[in-house]
Amino acid sequence: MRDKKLNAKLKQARVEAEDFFAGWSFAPLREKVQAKVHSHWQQRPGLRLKLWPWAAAALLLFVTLVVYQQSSHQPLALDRSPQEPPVQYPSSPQNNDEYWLSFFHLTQPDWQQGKLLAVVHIIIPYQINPDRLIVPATHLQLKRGQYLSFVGDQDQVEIILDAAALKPLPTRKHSPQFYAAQSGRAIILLEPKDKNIPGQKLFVIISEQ
Amino acid sequence: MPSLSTAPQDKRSQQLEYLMRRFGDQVLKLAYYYVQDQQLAEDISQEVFFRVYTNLDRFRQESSYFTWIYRITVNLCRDHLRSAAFRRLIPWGDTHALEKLESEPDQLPELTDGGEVWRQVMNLPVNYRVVLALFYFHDLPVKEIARITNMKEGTVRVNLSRARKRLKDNLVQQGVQKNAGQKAECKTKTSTSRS
Repeated sequence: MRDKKLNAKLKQARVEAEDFFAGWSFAPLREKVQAKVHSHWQQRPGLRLKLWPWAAAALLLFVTLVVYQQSSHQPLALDRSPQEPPVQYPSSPQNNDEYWLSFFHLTQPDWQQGKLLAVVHIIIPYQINPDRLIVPATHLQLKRGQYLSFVGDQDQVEIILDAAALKPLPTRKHSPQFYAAQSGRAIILLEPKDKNIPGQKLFVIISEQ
Repeated sequence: MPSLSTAPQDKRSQQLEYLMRRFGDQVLKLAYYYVQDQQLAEDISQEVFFRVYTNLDRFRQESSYFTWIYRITVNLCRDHLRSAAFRRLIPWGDTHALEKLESEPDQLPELTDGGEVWRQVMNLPVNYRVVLALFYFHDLPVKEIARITNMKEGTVRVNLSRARKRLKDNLVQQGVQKNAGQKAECKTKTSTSRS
């Protein structure tokens, strides 16, 4: 078959194609497209619906910021009643060789002003069982400026300070207090008045702030 | 054509209506050249104009509306041909079959009515028959066909040339078979009359 004949065949094919598509029309489909477009816009969320996730996220962020800011100013006021003294838990020992403990750190909030005091007290409880003196630690680490208090039955135990690094404060009933005036070491002796009960030594090291 | 892109937003439906009236029939035919199924071609055509509507704002006049709409049609048809439903026909693991998909005759054409030559055109591989139809039936130049089908002009020319050759071979083959059939029929008639 030559090209001329093929071209003639293609012209014939064109006529046949026109015949084939003669009954075809896109007109009936136009309404379907318009209906689809219409339903698309009806289903499409409006601006308000489109923006609400962003608004919710912004609100959440705002609330978080407010709570964070309040908690940074009054960290303990949110979840504690004014009657409860806030508690800081003891730090872990600094190394295994020296078993220096800091424990019973109590911060004393100034409830009148709604502020925390900078002063930190460390309280050492003690107790005499029938035949022995119980003190929860043998070594203690303080920072200069901290206060140390002993809470127990002072009538049965005498507390003796053996260093100048700690200064005794006017004793309250049942709670002898010391002030870490300078860095250094100190030994505090807890001597039961009952001489049958052995006493205990509390080794104190005072470091700079 | 009216200045469509400057029309207000609320006149988009009117723009769509105009474009459907102007190009709807052509889009339907082009889709049929690809999928060879009237129902599918109609579905694809509707989807074409729905996309036209949703993207009217983004049309940047870099091409004509005609080219833009035809390209959407071609892309949708190609997506359809590559769709999972179409791929189900290919044996599992036969990756070559997938690659040949657009160069081999389709396996799912509906029985095309119309004349003999038209049927032979529609039996060509999809890339051949589309190029041939756009060039000979829609009078589009090679450059425009290249834009619409996202092919290089050289590729369009090559496809056009191969399409002509394949069509010629098929027509010759058909003619030979037809002649052979007629001869056999004549022989049968002759022997019957002698007896």
